[in-house]
Amino acid sequence: MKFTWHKFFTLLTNIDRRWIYLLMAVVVVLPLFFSFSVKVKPAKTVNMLYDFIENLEPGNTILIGFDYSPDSLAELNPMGKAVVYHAFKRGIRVMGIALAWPSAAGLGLDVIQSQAFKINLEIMDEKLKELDALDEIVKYKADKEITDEEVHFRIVKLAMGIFERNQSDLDLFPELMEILRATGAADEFEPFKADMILSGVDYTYFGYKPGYVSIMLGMGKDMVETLTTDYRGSPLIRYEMFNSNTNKIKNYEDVSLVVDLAAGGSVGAWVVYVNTKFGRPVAAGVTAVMAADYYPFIQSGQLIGLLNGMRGAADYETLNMRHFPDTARPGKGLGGMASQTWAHLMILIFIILGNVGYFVTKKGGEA
Amino acid sequence: MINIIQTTIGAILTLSIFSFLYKDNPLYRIAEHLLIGISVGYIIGQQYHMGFMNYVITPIFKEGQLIYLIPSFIGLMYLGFFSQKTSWLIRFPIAISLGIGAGYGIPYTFQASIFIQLRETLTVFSEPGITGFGIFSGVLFLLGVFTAIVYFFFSWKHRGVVGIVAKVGIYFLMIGFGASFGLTVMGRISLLIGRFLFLFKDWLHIIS
Repeated sequence: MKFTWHKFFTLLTNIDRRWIYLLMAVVVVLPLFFSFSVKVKPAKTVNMLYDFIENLEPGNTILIGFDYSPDSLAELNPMGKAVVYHAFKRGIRVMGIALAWPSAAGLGLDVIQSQAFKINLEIMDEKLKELDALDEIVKYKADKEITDEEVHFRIVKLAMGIFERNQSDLDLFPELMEILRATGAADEFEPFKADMILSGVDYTYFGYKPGYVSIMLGMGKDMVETLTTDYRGSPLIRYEMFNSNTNKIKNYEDVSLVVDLAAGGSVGAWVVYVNTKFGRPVAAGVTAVMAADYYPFIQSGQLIGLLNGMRGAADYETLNMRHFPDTARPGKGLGGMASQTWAHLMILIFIILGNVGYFVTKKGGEA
Repeated sequence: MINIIQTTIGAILTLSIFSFLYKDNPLYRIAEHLLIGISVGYIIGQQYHMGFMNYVITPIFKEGQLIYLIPSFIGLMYLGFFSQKTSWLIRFPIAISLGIGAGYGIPYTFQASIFIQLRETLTVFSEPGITGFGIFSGVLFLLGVFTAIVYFFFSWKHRGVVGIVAKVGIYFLMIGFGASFGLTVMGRISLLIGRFLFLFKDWLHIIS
């Protein structure tokens, strides 16, 4: 059978779409396995947000709106983690709230707690290595058949529980807690307290609060009165962040920046009510689908920075790695960039093939 | 152990949803119904604990703040919807919500979305130390805004000069839609990457 371009493109245009799905899956998966690295040059709008946070003073506070649901987790969680990591490394306090989506309640908590935990592990690193050699800890690891990494996780969790006076954390690993108390190791945690990232002191997560705009406006007057409790139902007034004599947070006047991580129209509400009414700086991290809508707000200065989808997260992770080369590691943003590049190349090839095929088959059909 | 069970359930449901790409099947439908059911249940739970308990039960019955009875009573009027005799009651909470929403929203929305945007569009050349590229961007920006507005101006027929300007406006709009579509592709692929990272990293631990 003689090869003609017409036949070739007719075959291509009639191909079962499931082959294309399969090809796309292969193109996305392969770079994940072979660790292809892609160099990322952070976008200007990401640098703007990074520089803004970099220029804040330790002890300042940022408020993060977690306005997305689990279906946007792949894009927005990595950027949330990168921003929170940066803030904690700079000694900036973080507050988190979910206003638009009830299903964001757990996502925001995971973002903030995971980064607090990561930094506490870094802070206690030397002490944890020292404890690894303790006979009781060696025996505990052997009995429970757990790795060094797992026991470090448990010790830091207990240390945080001691300082946060969180009994439910202390009850998680009672045998290990007993060992730490009996050996006196628990008393040796005290010097780390000042540097550790602790709930109520360095961060507060409010969870989901129904009311949306009314809550947004109420926070401009009095946060404790409007929000009353954190995600666990504990009164905010008990926390140092809200009752300190020197650096307590009352309303937006005490918030240096609002960052909204959004998969819907919430950025508009933060700009309208918090930037326009209360004059506070607002930045946004949005899904790529909606990013184009928000560039005019950058140009007008209503947003001081913008993270655009997974690429925005990769940019922010890159900046974190530049500033904290010893501790910052690539997250899921940078991890997905090679797959993203190859998938885009494949789509470009398909667009070219599809258009060429259209003209070739049309010409052949007319002939 | 609980973590392993959780991620395995997540992985099975992810694969069930992916199976729709081959063809519709019962596994996909089970996963879809579970997603909807669990989402609604979770939302109701959140609303009950964070809304009803925090802003109705606790302040009124535990703290004795009777002022909360007024908004609670107004909110209860929504339940009038379930009977034809009392359905007129829902007009009150709707009217109050709309009134407060519009009162707060209209001035600030106009300010943020129209006045400030318009001011920044008109002062595009006033940036201190503007470069040649900045001037070029500004001209392009103004041209785009002007021609796109003309395209949406329907009082005159799009003929002659107006037609040409509107046509230029269409090209600007097309470029905007193209950028949005490109970003949409990136967004959708990000979601796919997210699921694959979950399957191969969090579930199977076969990539670092």
